[in-house]
Amino acid sequence: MGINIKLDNCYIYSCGVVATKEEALHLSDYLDIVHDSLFADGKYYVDGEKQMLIEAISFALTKAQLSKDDLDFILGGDLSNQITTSTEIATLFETSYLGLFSACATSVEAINIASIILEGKKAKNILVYTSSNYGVSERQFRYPTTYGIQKKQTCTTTVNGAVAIILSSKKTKIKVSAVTFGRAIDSLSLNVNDMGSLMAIAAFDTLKKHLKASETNCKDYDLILTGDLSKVGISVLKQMLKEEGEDVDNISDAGELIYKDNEKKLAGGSGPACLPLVAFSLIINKMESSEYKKVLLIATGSLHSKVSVAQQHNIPVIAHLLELIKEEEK
Amino acid sequence: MTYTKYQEIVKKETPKKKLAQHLLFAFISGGLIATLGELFYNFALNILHFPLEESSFFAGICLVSLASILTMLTFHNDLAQLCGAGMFLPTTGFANSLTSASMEGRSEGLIQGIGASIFSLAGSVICYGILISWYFATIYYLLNLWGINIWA
Repeated sequence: MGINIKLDNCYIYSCGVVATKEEALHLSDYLDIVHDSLFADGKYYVDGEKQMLIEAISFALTKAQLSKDDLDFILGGDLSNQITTSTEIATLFETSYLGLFSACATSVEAINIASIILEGKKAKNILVYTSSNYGVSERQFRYPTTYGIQKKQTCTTTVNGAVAIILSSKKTKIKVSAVTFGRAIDSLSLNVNDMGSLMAIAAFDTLKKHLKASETNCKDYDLILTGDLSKVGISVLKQMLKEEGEDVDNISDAGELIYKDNEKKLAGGSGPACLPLVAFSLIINKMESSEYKKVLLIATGSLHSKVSVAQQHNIPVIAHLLELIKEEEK
Repeated sequence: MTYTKYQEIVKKETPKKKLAQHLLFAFISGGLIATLGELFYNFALNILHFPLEESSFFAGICLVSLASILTMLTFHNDLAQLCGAGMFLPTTGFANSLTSASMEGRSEGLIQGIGASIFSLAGSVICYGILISWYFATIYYLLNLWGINIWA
């Protein structure tokens, strides 16, 4: 079981998207700022991540023509230990803050919770942000960035970027029409080198749950965008859905899309910012121009730590889902 | 969808390992590093006129320094991705593990950062290296006690 909630009062008001030039290869027209390196102007990786996050937030606020005081709630998360980056950024505001962690599924988890708060009419404007940085997360989950170990072809590479979204009860073109929260699933595996195919289990589970609850098929959506299943994971998910008789032509993966044709990034991009970087730049633009009308975003996360895997504990995986629809203008 | 079915799909969709390519690259790069070491060795022996033992130390020091500099310039990890075991197994891999770990700890300062994290990857090599040498020294000592000299 799980919660699937239909919503009627939650709109994407504005978004700020910041990344480095590696991510900008396929998204450059839609990004607000493109940095040359993941350090941005800082000395250490974490400085770069914070700077990008602050820039993304200020872009979102400027586009929405809101000031800091207009925000009623802040939700955020990232991959650093004890989500310190998000929390330190939250200290710049004087609003209630919730720090969230679902690894790479944080973005959709945050939007989902914000949507429910808006639906309950407890707030008017909610700021949601996530960020990720290759250097920071590599340290958290793998080896030092300059360590010379040969990575497997199934490994994913954390994207560098930050996304801030302002959700509002004020009507705009794009509406959050339903959310589905996933369940934590034991992947029965310790394979940290292929998280894509592990997370495919969670994505499959949440997607099936959503389709069942909303009585739809994959065909009913213009696009189903998964978070960071990578080249391997997305083909596993497609195969799994095919077995169940679903149409899989409209499914694609943000991690695969963002580093398309970039062999250095191995199986594709990952990280909490991976899905929103694609979704809230390219996809949102296509929605505004009515190319897509109904879109599902599925953020998948692998909830392990370096220590838990070393202690031989299986990796739990999770996926949260979000349905966006283009509001018809009357 | 059963778990066995899922596993079958994963097995089918996972890209095949490029074993032949990896072996070839490791063979060539490992050989090149060894040749480079040999060059340093001969340079020390014949041109700098170092004694035999010190010449091999010189070669080792040169390779380690070179690997550390490459690590510092962030070239080493790109090369290692291509060469694999060819760069990982020689002393260059050990130098890289020390340099990369200490670079990672740079943000926390000299004591808690660089000093504390420098052996975080190479610590196992050093720890078990010492342990093994202690075992062999004990065996050597016991053999000597029984009058067996393995060097004779």
